[in-house]
Amino acid sequence: MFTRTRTLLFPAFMVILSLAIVSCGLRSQSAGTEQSITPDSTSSITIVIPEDPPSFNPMVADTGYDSLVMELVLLGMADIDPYGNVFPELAAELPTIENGGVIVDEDAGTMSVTWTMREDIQWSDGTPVTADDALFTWEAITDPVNGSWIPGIDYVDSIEKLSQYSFVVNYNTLYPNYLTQLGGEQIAIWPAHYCDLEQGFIAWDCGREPLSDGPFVLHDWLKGDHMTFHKNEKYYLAPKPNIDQVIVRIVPDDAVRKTMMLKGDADIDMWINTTVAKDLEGSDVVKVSMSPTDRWLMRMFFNLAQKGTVDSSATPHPILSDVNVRKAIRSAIDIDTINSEIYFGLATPVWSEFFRPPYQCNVPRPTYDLEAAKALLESSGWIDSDNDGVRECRGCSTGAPEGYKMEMEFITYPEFGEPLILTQQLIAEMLSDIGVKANISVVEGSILWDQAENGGIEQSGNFDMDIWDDGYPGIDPTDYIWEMYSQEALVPGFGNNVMRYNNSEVDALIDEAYTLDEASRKETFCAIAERLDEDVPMVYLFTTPNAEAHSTRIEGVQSSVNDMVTWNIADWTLK
Amino acid sequence: MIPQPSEFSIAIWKRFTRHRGAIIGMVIISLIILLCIFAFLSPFNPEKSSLAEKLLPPSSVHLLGTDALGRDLLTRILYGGRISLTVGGIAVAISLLIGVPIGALAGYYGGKIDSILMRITDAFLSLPSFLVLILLAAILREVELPILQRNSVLTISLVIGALSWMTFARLVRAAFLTLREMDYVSASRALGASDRRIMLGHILPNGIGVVIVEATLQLGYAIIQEAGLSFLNFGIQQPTPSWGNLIYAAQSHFTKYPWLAVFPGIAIFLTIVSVNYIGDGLRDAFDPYKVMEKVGEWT
Repeated sequence: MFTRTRTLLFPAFMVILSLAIVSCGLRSQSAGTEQSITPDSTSSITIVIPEDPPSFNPMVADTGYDSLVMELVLLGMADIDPYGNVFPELAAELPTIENGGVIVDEDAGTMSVTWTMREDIQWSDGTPVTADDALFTWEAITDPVNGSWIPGIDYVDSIEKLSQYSFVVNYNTLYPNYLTQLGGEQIAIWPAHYCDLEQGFIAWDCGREPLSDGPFVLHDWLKGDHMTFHKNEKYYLAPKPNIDQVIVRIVPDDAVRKTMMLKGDADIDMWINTTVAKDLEGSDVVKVSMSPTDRWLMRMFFNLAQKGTVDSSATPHPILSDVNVRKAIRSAIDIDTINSEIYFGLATPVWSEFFRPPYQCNVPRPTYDLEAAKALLESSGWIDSDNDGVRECRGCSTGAPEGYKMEMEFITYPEFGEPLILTQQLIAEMLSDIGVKANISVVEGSILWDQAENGGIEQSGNFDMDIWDDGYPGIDPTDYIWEMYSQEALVPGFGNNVMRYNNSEVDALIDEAYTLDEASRKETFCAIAERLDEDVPMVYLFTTPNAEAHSTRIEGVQSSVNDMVTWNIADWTLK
Repeated sequence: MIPQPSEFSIAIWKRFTRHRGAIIGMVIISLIILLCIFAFLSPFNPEKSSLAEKLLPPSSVHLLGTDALGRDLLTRILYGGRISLTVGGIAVAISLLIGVPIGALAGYYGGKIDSILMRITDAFLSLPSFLVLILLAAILREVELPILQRNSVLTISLVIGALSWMTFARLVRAAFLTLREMDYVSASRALGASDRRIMLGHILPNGIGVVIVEATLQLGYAIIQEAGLSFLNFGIQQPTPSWGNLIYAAQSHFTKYPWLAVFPGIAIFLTIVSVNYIGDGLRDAFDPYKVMEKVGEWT
């Protein structure tokens, strides 16, 4: 009897596995909790995202979803629009040299920035937002035990209150990114009278139950299901926002999110990939908003240190420590084919870190040339002597033993979606054409990018090559370049130089970039671009469009690489 | 008159062949295995992309269509079958290697040994197996050992096998508890046979039927678990096909290109149903009362 029962259960299980889960089963997600979050107003929109935001504080995990909800409830001193223009939020105006807000001491190489805040902004409990909140936020960030690292933190000597609505930031250097240091997509000003400093900036309760000074107020949050936000009646730009209620629903599967958009069950699908964008083409009910500028540069990272180690000088990688190998790999990747076949031509080939205004450098584009790639490998002592399709070290210069196979692991993350998975497979195939065996592996982003002490693969150096997309927010790449390429940033936990790239000339150039002299900065960045082009610590592939799907009943949605799609939600209107 | 071993075998085979489902299952599974073995005869490379032919529907050239990189789906299903069946086979072997000795020791010796081993078995049975499978797979894919590479066939098989041995232990223990009291066992003991000889030479062969039946069922479970792990991206990695990762890759195309999920799903379905019917047939065939009935008719 037992066996017969199981005989019947197996087919049933298979049907669920192969068909229902793939398609229909997932649809039940959208209907499961309909009752509990039915909008009580016609002026309501639904945003769908794949996972819960960890909190309202993007400094904790920086998943993007935290920034998305932060923009609903919290303001910073200033923010950036899709075109890279900085605009004031809590600030009455942006401090500049011209208006006296920025005072530079050329001799000492220091500067001070005076922020004057609007006096008409209050928290949702009626308490005014003042300089005390800004100073409190800075105190929380810089707490040696419970604080957090933010870009430029080391360049701030002190912050002093000048009046109830003004304060001055004293820098020990010329810091070009000062305008968004207390704003942008990651930093908000937190309420001093509401948040508990002892709980710490990263862990405090107000990070999950924030008091609002933004356009919306958090009403309820059912983890793994939805968050509901109501209009903030005390919002300083009243009668904005024009929408009464925002529901953020957690829908893990991108196919389900797409279906919800097409059926009118959702209004915003954040960060859609090119496959979804293509599928939505021609829809009457859904439009795709693309950012006017690109940010997300798909990169192939090389680990220049031996796998499992973090010192590329002491323990160089047996294959990738040879720059000719890296150049050969770059030459073997046919970016145009990947773009046309996988990204429908929507990606843009890119070959320099400095590809977007105002810092664009004229680095010559590397050519796709299989023969040149093979010749480079041959000349570097990598030869397929046993004709098995994979080269071996025969006199190579990396310190690898004779006969060492040119075989490496090649990792990516699944959250990006199918286009990246296919890209990874195509690149692995292209590398096999020149005798490099790339063993594919797909690992969640949370494991790939986690801290070394938590087993993070990149930070602990436990990889050969990986591919993912990244880019700096806003218009100033200085901090990003430091984090990605400086020697100081190759220490696990101190930056993102997971390639363990080590070039003192580049370090000196990065230091030179910390100036307010724009002409000098452009020159410096282009010098860095040339060095990176020569050293190839990573291969720059292409930028993918930053796109959001939105229902046609919403007007005013504008995707932005400089912030989350909710950056201007107060301005959205419903037809 | 005591029936001879050959008469038992004949009786078992006769009963098995009378189970229509089992015979059909045997034919189907044999066909699938043969097709997978001879997959190399396919003119298509299962891992090589052909971008000009991507996402083609079934046709006379590509009988089951092509995937998002233009690879022939039939070829990938057949190569994927090799992987899935291999994982299933190795996982069952691992389960047998762990479960049978534990069950044999517990059933033969009884007492404290039985209690300890069965409590361990109970502890494993109480685990939410698939969740633990995912956890183990996630841990093991961070391990870089020469024989346990990330997401390799052996790693996945080990993970599945390590959590599937408990049924074998329970069944073998039950068989040993009964058989150890039989007269022929007492006779062997009286003649001075060692415990090992009694267990391996006398009791195990008489209790092997139930193990074989369970092994066929476990094979089905292991294939499903591999498919589940691969579907969740914890299993065999692309471009190497397995039935699970073929379905995983079909997710985003299901509405437009349903064959990408349906055909691998059918392959899994047919395999699982077949091995279950074979298991069902074997269960009936090994049933001692039915066998004795039949042997009795002949004698």
